[in-house]
Amino acid sequence: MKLARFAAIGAAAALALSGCSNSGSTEPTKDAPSSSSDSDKTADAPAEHTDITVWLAGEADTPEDAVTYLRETADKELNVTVNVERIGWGDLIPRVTTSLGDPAQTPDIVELGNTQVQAFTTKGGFRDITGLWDSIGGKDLSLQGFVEGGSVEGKLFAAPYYSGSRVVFYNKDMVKDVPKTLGDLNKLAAELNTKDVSGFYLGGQDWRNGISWLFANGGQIATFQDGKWVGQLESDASIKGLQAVQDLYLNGTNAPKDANDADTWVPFNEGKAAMFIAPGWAAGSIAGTDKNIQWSAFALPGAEGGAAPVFLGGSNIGISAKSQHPEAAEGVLKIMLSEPYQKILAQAGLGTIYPEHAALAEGDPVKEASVASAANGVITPASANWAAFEETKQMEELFFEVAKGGDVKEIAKKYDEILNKALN
Amino acid sequence: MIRRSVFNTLGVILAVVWIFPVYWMVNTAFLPQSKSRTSNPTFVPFGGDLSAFRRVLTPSFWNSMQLSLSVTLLVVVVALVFAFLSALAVSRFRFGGRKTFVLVILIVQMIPAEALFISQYKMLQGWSLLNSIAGLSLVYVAAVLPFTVWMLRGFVDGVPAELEQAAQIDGCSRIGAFFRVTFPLLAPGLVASGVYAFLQAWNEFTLATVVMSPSNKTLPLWLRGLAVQTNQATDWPAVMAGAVLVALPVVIFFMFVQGRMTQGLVSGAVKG
Amino acid sequence: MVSEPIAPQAVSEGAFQVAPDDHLDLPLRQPRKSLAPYILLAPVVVVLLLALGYPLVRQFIMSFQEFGLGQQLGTEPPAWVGLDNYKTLVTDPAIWTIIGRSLLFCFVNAASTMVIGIAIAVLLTKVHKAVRFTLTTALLFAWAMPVIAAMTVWEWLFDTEYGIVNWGLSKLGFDFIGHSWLIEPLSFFFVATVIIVWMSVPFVVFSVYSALTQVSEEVLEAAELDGAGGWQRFVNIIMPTIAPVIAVVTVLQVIWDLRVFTQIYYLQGAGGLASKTDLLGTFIYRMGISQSNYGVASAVAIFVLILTLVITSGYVRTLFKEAE
Repeated sequence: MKLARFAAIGAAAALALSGCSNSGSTEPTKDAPSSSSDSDKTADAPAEHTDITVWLAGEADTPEDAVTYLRETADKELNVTVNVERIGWGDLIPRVTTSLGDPAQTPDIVELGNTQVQAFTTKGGFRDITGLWDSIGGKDLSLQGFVEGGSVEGKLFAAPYYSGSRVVFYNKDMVKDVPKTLGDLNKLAAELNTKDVSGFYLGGQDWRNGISWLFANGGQIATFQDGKWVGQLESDASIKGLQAVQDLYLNGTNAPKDANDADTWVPFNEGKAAMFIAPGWAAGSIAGTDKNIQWSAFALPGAEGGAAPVFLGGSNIGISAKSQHPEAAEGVLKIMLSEPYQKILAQAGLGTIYPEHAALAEGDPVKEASVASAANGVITPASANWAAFEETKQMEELFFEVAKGGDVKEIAKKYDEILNKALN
Repeated sequence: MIRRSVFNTLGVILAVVWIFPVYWMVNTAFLPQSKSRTSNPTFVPFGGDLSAFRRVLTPSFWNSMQLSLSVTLLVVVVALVFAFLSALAVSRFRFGGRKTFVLVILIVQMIPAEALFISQYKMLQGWSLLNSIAGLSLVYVAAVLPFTVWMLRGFVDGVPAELEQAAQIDGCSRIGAFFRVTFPLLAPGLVASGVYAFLQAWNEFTLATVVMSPSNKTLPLWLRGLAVQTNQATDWPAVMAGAVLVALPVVIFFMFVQGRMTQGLVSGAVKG
Repeated sequence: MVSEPIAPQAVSEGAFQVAPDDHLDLPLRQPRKSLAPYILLAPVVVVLLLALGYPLVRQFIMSFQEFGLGQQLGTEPPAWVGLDNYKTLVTDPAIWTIIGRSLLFCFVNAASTMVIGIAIAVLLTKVHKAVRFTLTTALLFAWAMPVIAAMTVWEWLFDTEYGIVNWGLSKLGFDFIGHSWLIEPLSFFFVATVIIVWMSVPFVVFSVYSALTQVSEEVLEAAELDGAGGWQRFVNIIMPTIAPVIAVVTVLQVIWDLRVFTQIYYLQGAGGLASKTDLLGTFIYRMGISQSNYGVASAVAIFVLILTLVITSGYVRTLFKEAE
């Protein structure tokens, strides 16, 4: 019967295809015997040998040198083979959500963005590492803001891993004197602003950068009081900050009201903006234009001078609660938080947990500005609901309304209500 | 005839409109990074080169290509065969449960699958099918089947049973009649369903993210890895070059299948 | 093998619904009760049960439970909350606006896609071979383009500062420099419709064109010789043949357009104001996945299923109305 023959051919083809393509493409699973394909060590180790899987976020965020150091050190000192998987930021949350709770599938160590980690720490996804953190320095280390973000009821579950700060890039031909206070910067931006050139390029929905004006004036997004999160946009300091950024929006920039923090260097590269603010790595996108712009960087100035608090990007890192080798994992984590490892991160321009690494930035204006601005850096409210709230894009709308020139006090009231509901 | 040339012109205009974003994608793939986002658009990539393509043709790309091809071809073949058999059954036979089957197939397509992936992950894990071509293909085939059955049923219904009857009266067996007369008429429908199934499997990424291990990515995951960057600027020419490479196999598949099917059509039953 | 020309009458009767009884009781060789249909159905049923059975049942159950990250990570047990998830959904002040918007958006998109798609499919039958090849290829490339790349390019085309659309319109004399297409909801949905129609039409064209090729040339010629005009030929000969395919494709467009997520989500990320442009797809995502609140996400999914059933009930009933 032709039909049966047809079906049989189809089935045979399916089997053949699955057979021959299955072999080469699978990674050794966690239950497979020891030797990892990316380690070149020998097999005769005296102590008990373990495999530890580390998930790092981003294809290239942690420098490869650090990974090499980690593998070699773990192998030598702990007799541990470290299997590093780099997970793209877009894949990270789905993967962690499905794997973290499963002893057979969970990675031992996971890096998460500093705004993403609360959702998992507050639900028992990670192991208590308060002791580990204290043993390497505890309160003497930097990035204490990340400690708060990674803790639940005083216990640390996800340690700070690294931070990335924001700096102001400026065109040396247009900006002769670097402004010393935030008020001066607003004035300078208004002066430089013409029909074709933005004094300071700030998109109407760019809340991650715009919020620095709020912080610089002492304002906050929300604080934890009496067991719940309370929106703080209506405080005097916050109102002052929102008015300051509104002043910039109305007088100092031509940036579209629907722009956010993507590709902010493009107008700068074309000579259409005198200043813009971006994370330190944006420096790589300024080079390579044919306009030959002379540029440098400075830390966003505070209201009274010094460096303004800016939004700190960065990651936390912790050990899965369901890890099958928690002691070995602690050893590996200690290496990742150790001074030599963190130094490699610092040399790549990232902010680390060791205060002494700040000195490494000397000579490079971008790195120096990063260090200065990170010193006062702020993170998002450590509410377990913050990440989901960010997804609702209400912050973008808040800034959009401010940028359009609406009544700041009314806007603050409206969004405080939204915050109160969303964060609790 | 004037009418003809009006139609022809309209056809060309439509083609230009539809191809424009594709052209823009290809254009960007040839540009240097600094020119990919500017206020003076570059319409023809003079001074561009293949460097973006070179940047993306990495071993991880080829690994992903191989994986995607294996999974997708398997899914298309299995889904078409299974769906075709079912379409036959539903369209040409009477049997108890036929209405139920048709209804279930329709309803299954209406269910949003957003929360399904965590259950499907657990299921595959229980069967040790995680990070395997078989496992991923299984969930893909299931995802594609309802639609494919539905489509093919529509096509089979569009070919009246009288054609087969006539052939049987002329001496063919029922099956013979089917394959000589109806099947060639279904060829275009099979192509449309096949390309759709191909595209679904080729572009899916929610399930692929959780089922496959991080170093074993399908092409959409690989492409997303290029496009979604948090701590560095996105290399748009590379992303577009990658997208061109991801789109190519679909086009090749269609051209290949279309050629074969049209042959069968021309030599087959209709012109007789 | 010669086939007798089919009278238009029989074609329209036999093709529209699931074939009525008298066409199937073939007098020769086929036993009345056979296992054949069940065997033919078995593969599909098995695969669907295997791969979808457990997840669908679990999703249904989850819609009545509190199921968030804690439950997913295994640190908290799922708790039965009865209809609470559904209540959260139905009492959300935004939900009815979102449903209204989604229905309207779905209608506009599905209708536009079908009309344009069918028109182009018919056009394809009337153009020169070279034009047909060009247009088919263009549609195919558009269809094959990965969504990430397509969305990015479309965003760039409509970009406020650097978009080609603004640039082109300005060159034509209209002042569109710096015009934002995404801030105003109406304009936002216009852009979304353009994109989604652009993405969906190729599929409709290929499906309908494939069905059009099934129409017998001889019958058409015979009708023309008999004096039937172009429109009459279309309505009496072509439409009945392609009607099943059109019905199928339309229902599918409705299902997809009601739940559209990716395109809306991307456009919101590019400047659209979420609270004014959310549709059911992004709503499901916000309520469920982005908060890891799978209980609510499952409830919303069931809700959208019911909504879809209600909208397509007309078609479903037609399906039911067949001679038993």
